[in-house]
Amino acid sequence: MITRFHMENFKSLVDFDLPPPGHELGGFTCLIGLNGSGKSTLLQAFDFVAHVAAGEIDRWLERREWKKGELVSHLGKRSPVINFRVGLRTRDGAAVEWQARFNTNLMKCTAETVSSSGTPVLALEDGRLTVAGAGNAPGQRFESEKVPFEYEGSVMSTMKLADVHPHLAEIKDELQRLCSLELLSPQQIRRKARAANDIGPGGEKLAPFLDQLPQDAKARLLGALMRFYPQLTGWSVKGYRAGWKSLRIHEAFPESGMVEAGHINDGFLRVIAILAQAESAYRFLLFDEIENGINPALVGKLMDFLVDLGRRGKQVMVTTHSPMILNFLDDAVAREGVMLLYKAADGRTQACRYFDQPETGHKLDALGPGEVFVDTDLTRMVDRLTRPMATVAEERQA
Amino acid sequence: MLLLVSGEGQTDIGAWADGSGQCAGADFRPGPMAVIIDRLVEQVAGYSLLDSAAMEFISECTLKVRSKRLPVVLSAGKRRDYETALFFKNARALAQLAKAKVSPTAPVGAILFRDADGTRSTERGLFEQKWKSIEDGFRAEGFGLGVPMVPKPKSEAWLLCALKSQPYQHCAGLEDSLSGNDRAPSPAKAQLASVLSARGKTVGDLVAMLGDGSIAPNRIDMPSFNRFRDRPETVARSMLRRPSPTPGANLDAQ
Repeated sequence: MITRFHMENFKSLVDFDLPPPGHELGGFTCLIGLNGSGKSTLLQAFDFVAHVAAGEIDRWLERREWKKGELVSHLGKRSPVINFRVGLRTRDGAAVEWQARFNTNLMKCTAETVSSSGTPVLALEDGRLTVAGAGNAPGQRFESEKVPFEYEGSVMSTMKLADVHPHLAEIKDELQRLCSLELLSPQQIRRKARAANDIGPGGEKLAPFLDQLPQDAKARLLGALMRFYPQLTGWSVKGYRAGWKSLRIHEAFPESGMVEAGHINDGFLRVIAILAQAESAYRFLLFDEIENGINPALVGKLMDFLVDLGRRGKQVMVTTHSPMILNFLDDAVAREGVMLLYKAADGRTQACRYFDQPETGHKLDALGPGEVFVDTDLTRMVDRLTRPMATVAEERQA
Repeated sequence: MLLLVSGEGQTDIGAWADGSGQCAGADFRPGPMAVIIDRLVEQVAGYSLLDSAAMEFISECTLKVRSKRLPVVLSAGKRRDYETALFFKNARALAQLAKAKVSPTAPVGAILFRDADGTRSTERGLFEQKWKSIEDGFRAEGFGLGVPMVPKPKSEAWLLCALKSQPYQHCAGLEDSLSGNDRAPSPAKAQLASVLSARGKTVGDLVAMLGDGSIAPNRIDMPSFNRFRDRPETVARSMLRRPSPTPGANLDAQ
């Protein structure tokens, strides 16, 4: 699982840590903050790192219709280099850190290190590549004066990792199982699509993804959906010529039992796309403004589902502006997982644990997390957080 | 007559004698604010609530636990100010406890103490919001015998008024000049300790000083105290079914 994330020079993430030092990410993280504070940027940064690991940055930029120069920060001195660190915990409990320097002109990492429990297992510096063998013994190392292959993104993306240190393969796999659905859109979900093993960043491949699920997964998904929509009796995927597919749902209404994709309501499409992630191979799921289009009466069920995903080995990160979303969190989950993002006076995005703040922490003993959220003036809180320390000290003296 | 009181700790309303901070406890050790309430009510009742076990302590812990169970309040903005939900729900919880103790022969009142400012708040000037949110909480329970007790910036200001070099004179300024923030230079707590020290006393002697008349609550003249002063008497009169000398100040006993 991903435990820590540090990013330098990615849009407004100039020198950014999540969570703040001394803490680790858990199964469920909820990002809150004023508009423009950097919540979506953070989801994009996670997605960027996953695509660096996969060596698919060109395609990633193309899909987002971004230019490579748009990745770097416009704050302060312009540099084409993005530095990042990702902390992970492996299945055997080791703390692994991947550190990389990504050059946006070259579209690849020019320096990388991976360390496992403090011991380097991969190092790329000045073109020289050193990789620890499976046993991590001194004799089992692969060294090369010049990387003997072309690569995009991370050098790990092209390497065969079968005979090297097992943590390298594990973290590469873990990073590739990160899925950002911040572009999820009902309009895209309604489109016909062809074969897919995921739903696509906007949900545009939901129908073929659902179609290829095993029967037991389909049954589980229907069961989960029926908890949200009791009138639902089933869903199916309609096939067209040349392999195109679209979704339709079946309801227990005598007059209009079947609804084609084009007429399924937005909320249902978002819910089925989210619930389908329980059956995906992805382990780190990111959703932007999770409450969008979801009826408040269903928010509790949705939050139970997402928090439960976190408990069952997946990691979930959402952004929200909704106190209802927060109010369905257990206090312990809220204390650990609700992060406030805000921009410092110079425009850099910062993060802090929301319920560690003096305005909020004590209230959680008597109020629900969402109640604390609506009872606390976020603008004033951000103002306090971004005031220079000298000003705060002066005010205390006054 | 029974009066429920709840505050923030030993230096204001009081705490359990074992200092445990638990929700339930055996013996209530009254703090200076409880004694002030007792003195004010005694003028009407003719006897001390504390001495006759007619003042019951409700811990802050109890109110937090009960507040957490109350219906969710998710409105802010035009309908509700920021920083009011906590006091509102604390007051509702206290009112519920009071109503549950009412019997045909024993009316029950309640006083909820909270500092206006201090380490629990990041800004000054929230007195009105806090006072109103406590009143709103009592009102939401249809409870007419509840009284907010909100010293500004905190209870030490009221006591300093009585103990400063010119006692009881020009005390209003203390509300703005004192810092409610305990981390600030020369906080209210330190100033109180200092004036007590000059008299060879400590904070632990305040209850006795209120008892022997060294501190006379009735002489404290500060806006936040004046706002509070008559309310316990009014509530006591209502519970004792004695008419108020002030027209329109009578309350309905529950």
